[in-house]
Amino acid sequence: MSIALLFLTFFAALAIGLPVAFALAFAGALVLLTLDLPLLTLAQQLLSGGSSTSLLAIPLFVLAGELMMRGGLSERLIAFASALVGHIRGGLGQVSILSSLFFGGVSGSAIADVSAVGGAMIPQMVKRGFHTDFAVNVCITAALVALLVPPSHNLILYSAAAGGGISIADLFAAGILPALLMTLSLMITGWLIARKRGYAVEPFPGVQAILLRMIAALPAMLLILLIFVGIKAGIFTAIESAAMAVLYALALTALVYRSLPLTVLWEALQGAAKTSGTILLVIAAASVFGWLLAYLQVPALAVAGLKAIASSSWSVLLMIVLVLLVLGTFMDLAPMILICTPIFLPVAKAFSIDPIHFGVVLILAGGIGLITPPVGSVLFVGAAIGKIEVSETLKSIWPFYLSALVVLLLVVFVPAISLWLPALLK
Amino acid sequence: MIPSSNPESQHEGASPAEQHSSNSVDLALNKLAAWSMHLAVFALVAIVGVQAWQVFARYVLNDTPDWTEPASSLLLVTLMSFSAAAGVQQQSHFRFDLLLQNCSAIWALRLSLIVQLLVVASSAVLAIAAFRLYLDGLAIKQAGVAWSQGMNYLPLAIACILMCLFSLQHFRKALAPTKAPLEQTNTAASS
Repeated sequence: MSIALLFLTFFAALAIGLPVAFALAFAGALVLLTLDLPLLTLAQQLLSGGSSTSLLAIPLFVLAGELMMRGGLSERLIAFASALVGHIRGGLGQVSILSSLFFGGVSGSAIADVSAVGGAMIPQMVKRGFHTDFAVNVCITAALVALLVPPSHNLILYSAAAGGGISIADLFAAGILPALLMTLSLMITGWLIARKRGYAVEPFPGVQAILLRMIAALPAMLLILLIFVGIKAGIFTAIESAAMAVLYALALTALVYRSLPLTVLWEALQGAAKTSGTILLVIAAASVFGWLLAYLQVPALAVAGLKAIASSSWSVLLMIVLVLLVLGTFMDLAPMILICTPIFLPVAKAFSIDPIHFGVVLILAGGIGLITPPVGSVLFVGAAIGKIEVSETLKSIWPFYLSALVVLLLVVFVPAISLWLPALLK
Repeated sequence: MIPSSNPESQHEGASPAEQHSSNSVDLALNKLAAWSMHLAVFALVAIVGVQAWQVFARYVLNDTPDWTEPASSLLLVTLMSFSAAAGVQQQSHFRFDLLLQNCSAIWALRLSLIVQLLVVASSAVLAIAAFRLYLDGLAIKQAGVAWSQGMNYLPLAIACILMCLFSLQHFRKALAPTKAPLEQTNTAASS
């Protein structure tokens, strides 16, 4: 009864337009009252969720991404990607996909990725004769890559939602191969569509131009190395590496490139504080929800229920993926990670599925929801940049969906894709 | 997202005195939201500073400080609370508007009023609970720092009060421009 009340209140509150964090807190407060538990628990759990030091990495990586984005590093990354793959069929489409991979390694966020890369690439592609639907579809699906490459906020969020016991460095390593696979798969899809539609190619700029643009983009890409090597070598904790990333981004944009005037710095700080506050409040409110789920023994019920109907770990994982794909169509990724992890992670563990593998599957399946209607934030941002109706983009997006789903299934059925690199780096 | 109403066009039916007082209330609340965001930015910058100092102290001074963890934790709560409060005023929190976009104007208004009231209620409950926990924890010393454990609840308590105020501001704004049409509708119905 209380479980039903918790979920019904939450979904009803979401449906009428109550912000996610308040819907979580409101549903939690109502259930606490019906269970005769003190309302002080609400503030206690909210604060314990929101003040967990493992979350410190999120605002810091958000700030590093803001500094890099506003400091003009996206242009350098796009120029390098353009030199590398612009001459392949589908030219600028391939550039968008590769730029998303590079920029994802700086921002760690799909929305930031589509805003930065899509904002630069979609108008350019349209100007050079690409159809707007293709330009938007390429950019929004490519933004999914950012969910998987370090320093993905969503992987940090998953680690926090799992109770902080899963190594962020291992999760970062686990996301790299699926991200590369997704990039390759989208590039092949883009190439096939470009061939069918007869899109032009960019001229090959020559090896010297590639080297020059690589040198210009190298400092931005070194950020990924700084974060990754710093954590893996035990020099920094994940949080300290995030702070170092901020200082590195600040030094690079303000002192080396001189592309960060004080007004832009202030905008970056405000942007990062705003994004972080929104995410952190959802995390804090979700910890109340998570506490209630544990109190009401929902994870144990989910394990028992799935054990009754599923025979193998694959069938369980497939069922969870299906649920996540459906949930992803109307739920944003951050709240979905925070709500689904406490329910499905115990199920995954009960079926001997590696938590790191499960985390990558969760992020990828939920991420596909970001480009599906009715609630697909990346889809909306991309459509807004391309000044095109969402329905128009959806008419021709299916090859990209299919491509993303194939990668998802590969990641689900071949755990080595996500587990090989963390094991190698141990 | 529901766009927030334009303050200039909201009080067409109000007297000049009412308009003046509501404008000054709006101005004061807008300033509070701006200060709230400034505080969040300060906390964010301070987190960077604290974490950088932690690395510096460990590797250069060879002395890992024990105050950095509780300090970072308090700064994180400050960042979350005050940025979230400003987010209520700027209506920038994650939410789904499908129903609001697809229902009639009058139902959209009713729903948005209910939403604002629910935000007020949730924030008020949280403010009271956080303030009580602040008072309860005042006597409990926290390891490594000079402030008590209760201190961690103070930013949340203050920010939740701000959230109540900002949400009430939206409630009043949402209600204001519809006064005249509602009165017209009632008159038309009665005639």
